[in-house]
Formats: sequence, structure tokens, C-alpha cells
Amino acid sequence: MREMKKDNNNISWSLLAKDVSGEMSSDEHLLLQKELAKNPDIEKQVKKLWGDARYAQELESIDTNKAWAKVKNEMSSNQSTSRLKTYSSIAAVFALVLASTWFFNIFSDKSTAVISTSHELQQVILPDGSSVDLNHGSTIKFAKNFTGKYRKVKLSGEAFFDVVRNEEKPFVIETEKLNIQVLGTSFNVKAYKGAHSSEVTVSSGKVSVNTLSGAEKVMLEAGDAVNYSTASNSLDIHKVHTANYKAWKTKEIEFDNNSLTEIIVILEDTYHIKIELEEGIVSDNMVLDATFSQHSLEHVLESVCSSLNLDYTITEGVYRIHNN
Amino acid sequence: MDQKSDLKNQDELLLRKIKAGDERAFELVFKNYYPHLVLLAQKYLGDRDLSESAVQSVFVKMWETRDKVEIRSLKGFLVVAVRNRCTNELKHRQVVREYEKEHEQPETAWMTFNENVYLQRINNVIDELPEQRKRIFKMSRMDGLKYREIAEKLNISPKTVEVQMGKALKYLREQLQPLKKQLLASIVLLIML
Repeated sequence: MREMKKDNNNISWSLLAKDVSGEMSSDEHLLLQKELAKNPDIEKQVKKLWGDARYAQELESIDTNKAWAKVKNEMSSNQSTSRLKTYSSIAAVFALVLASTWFFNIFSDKSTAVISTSHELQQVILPDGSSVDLNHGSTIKFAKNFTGKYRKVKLSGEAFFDVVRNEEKPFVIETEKLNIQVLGTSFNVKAYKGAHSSEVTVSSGKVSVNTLSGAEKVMLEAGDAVNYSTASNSLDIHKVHTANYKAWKTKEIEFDNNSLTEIIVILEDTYHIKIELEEGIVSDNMVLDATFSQHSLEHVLESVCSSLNLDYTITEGVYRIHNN
Repeated sequence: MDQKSDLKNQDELLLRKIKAGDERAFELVFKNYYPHLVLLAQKYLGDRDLSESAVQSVFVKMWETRDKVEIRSLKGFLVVAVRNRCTNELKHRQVVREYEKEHEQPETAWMTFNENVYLQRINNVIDELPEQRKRIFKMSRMDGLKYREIAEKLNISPKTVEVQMGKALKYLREQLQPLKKQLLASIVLLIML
């Protein structure tokens, strides 16, 4: 009797799920109708929930705080130029003028800025408000005031760009091999000097990438990545399914059926370390599904090792994974 | 009934404060409505970036003209302003007319503070699902993948997808149905200003 009931419950829920996700056959439809006769409200509730779930997830994908920062910025800048009525705003404008001459003096002695990192991450805010997160061993070069037709920067190394939208002034990044042009989006560029390949991965918006020779040009959208191979001088588009490409910045890692070999590469890139694997461990057979959000390297390594029944030790800064 | 008049009072209070130049009140309104309006704009414009900047400009303008414009209903004002802004953006494009034909009234059911609590809770409950079940649910609901496609991608049987989807849906309903009742019954909390 109890078995029966349990079964009924199961059928009902997976049938309902099939119904809302449009997977249902006509036979099943009849079956479901029969079940629903006992509980007429539930179909309506579930359909509503199905709609709400999507809406809620979409809402979550919008960064309201970031948008507020932009709007707030515009609110105050418009205020200081359009309202000169009160003393306080006059004072504010006066202060602004003072501040800007001061900035001008500081920066006008040299018109380009060069910022480099060695063993640290650094965030750079560009003159137009766009932000650039530089990974280890990277250099960015840009004019201190983006005059001219383009907002132009030069990059060697890896960086995550979040570009403020300005349709009148496209944002252009030049690397050793590639030319990247956008209006306003966020994306990752990996273009170390002398490397075999470069990669551009788009988080939001649209990005156009072409080879310096101009021979090839591609248009990327969110979730797309393009790989440039120095050897063949060609661009190759593919989809990215995880956000691991920017884990060096976010420390958000997702293993999606990745083998231990792949996991090691991801961890090395994310935490800027070297991992060795004991000989004899057949790493391609070991796969893992897991997500880690801003955990320490030790925590992640510990979890990876224990779920694969391995262990690790550290000697002179090198991590070594070995059998238990 | 009570809930409705409380909401109205709350909006009036916020609007008065905004008129007096209270940025904090404006921020609250912004944070409450912004993501909903972006999704609304996206129905017209398609592109997320474009939609975000359209909605942002509506808010900037609302702030700049706060002492000139008389607003009776916050939600009504914002929805119309965003819609106008989008139609301007698209100008004579056929798209708008076709869209309006299809959707007599743009859907903006979700916009009050209480409903935001409920929507936030949905996301939390989805996050609580076991890893694989969560992934399957998102692939179906958000990416619109067929069961068969999900099964192939995850290298599992379609039957497993079916079972996992059923369990996910059951869990969501169990967690959310009581909360929804409770929220609808409760009086809207006046936010602290």
C-alpha cells in the first residue's frame, strides 16, 4: 500500500515537470489529467511557479548595484553643471575646478600611462570610467585622456575588461596579435607576449575581434570565446560553459565533468601556483563535478583530493598530488 | 485591500522624499524597480546592454526633473517612461507594433518589495538544490534544453533527467507555497528610511 502511494507521488511530480517543460506525450497528458482530478489546484500553482522561477533567475542576472553606481555618478555630475543657484553648488563647482586642475597638473606631464603587474592582481580605472583587472605579469598602456576617435589601450598579458558604453567612441584593445573592438561590455583577454595562443572570452554584450593582419574578423556574443593560434594565424570560435576563464579574478570555480588533468590546469591558472602529479596516477580517468566560490586553494585542493581518494603535500611552494 | 493602500502610502512617502532631494529614497526606488524594468525593456530591445542603459537614463531623467514632474503612481510612471524610451529607441521599427499586438499590456506583475522577497527566495531555493539537480533544472528552465539534450550533455539517462526534474519541482513548490501564502497575507512592511 505504502509502495503504491510513493510511486504515485513520483509519477505525478515528474509528469508535472514534463508538462511545464513541454516534454509531454499525449498518453502522458491523459494520465496527468487523471491525477490532477484529485488535486485541481496544483497544476495552476506549478505553472505559476515555473514562470516565476525563470523570472527570478533572470532578475538575479542583473547587477543592480553596479547600475546604481553609474546612475548615481550621472546624477551628481549633472547637478554640478546645471544648478549654480546656491552657494553650496558654487562651492562644489569651485572645488571641482580646483581638483581637475590638480589632476591635470599631475597627469599632463606625461600623456600615456603604463601599468604593470608582476605577482599581484591590480584593478585599473581608465579615464572613461571603464575598469580593467590585470592578472599577474600583465601590462596595460593607455592615453590619460581618451581624446580622438577611439578609446585605445594596449595590452600584453591577461585582463578582464568592464567597458563603459559609449557608442560614439568605440573601445579598442591592441595586443601583440589581435585587435579587439567593443562599444560597452565585459570580457576577458588572455594575450601574453610570445605565447602560442591568445584567447578572448565574452561575459556580456558583443565584442569584435580581428587579427592584426586584418585577414580574419569575428563577432562574439556573451558565452562565446575565440582562440587565436600563432602557428596557423587563425581564429577559432567556441562556446564556454563555465566561468573558469575569469576565476583568476573571481575565484569562482566550476568543475563540470573535468578530468584531474584539466582540474590541475584550472587550479594553476586560478591560484598562480604549480601543481605536480605523482607518476602512475591515471588522471584522465578521474573526473569531478563541483563548484567552489571564493574558497582558499587549500580548501579546494583538499576537496578535490579527498573526493578522488588522493592526498597532497607542499614542498618549496610546489604542490604535489599523490596517492593516499 | 489593506496591502494595496499601504503600498500606495509607501510610494507617496518615497515620492515626497525624492522631491525633497532625498537620494536615499531614490536609491530604494531604483533598487526595487531597476531589474524588473530592465527585463521589461529587454522585451522591446532584445539586447541586455541597451536595455540597461535605457532604464538608467530613465532614472537619471526622473531625478533631474523631480521638482517639475507630478507622479501619481511610481510603478505606472516608470513602466510608461521605460516603454516610451524603448519606442523612441526603436523609432519606426515594425518590431514595436508587432510586439504590442502580441502583448496587449506588457507584463509587470512583479514590482513590489514583498514580491521581491518572494522572488529572492525562489533563487535561494534553487540554489539549495543538490548540484546535479540544480544544473538539470537550470538547463531545462533557463537554457530551454530538451530532456534528451540535457541527458546527452550530462551523460545520464533521460529517465534520470525526468526524475530529477520532478524532484526539483516538488522541492520548489514545497519550499515556496507556504511562504507565498504568508507573504500575501502579511501587511507590507514599511521600509526604513
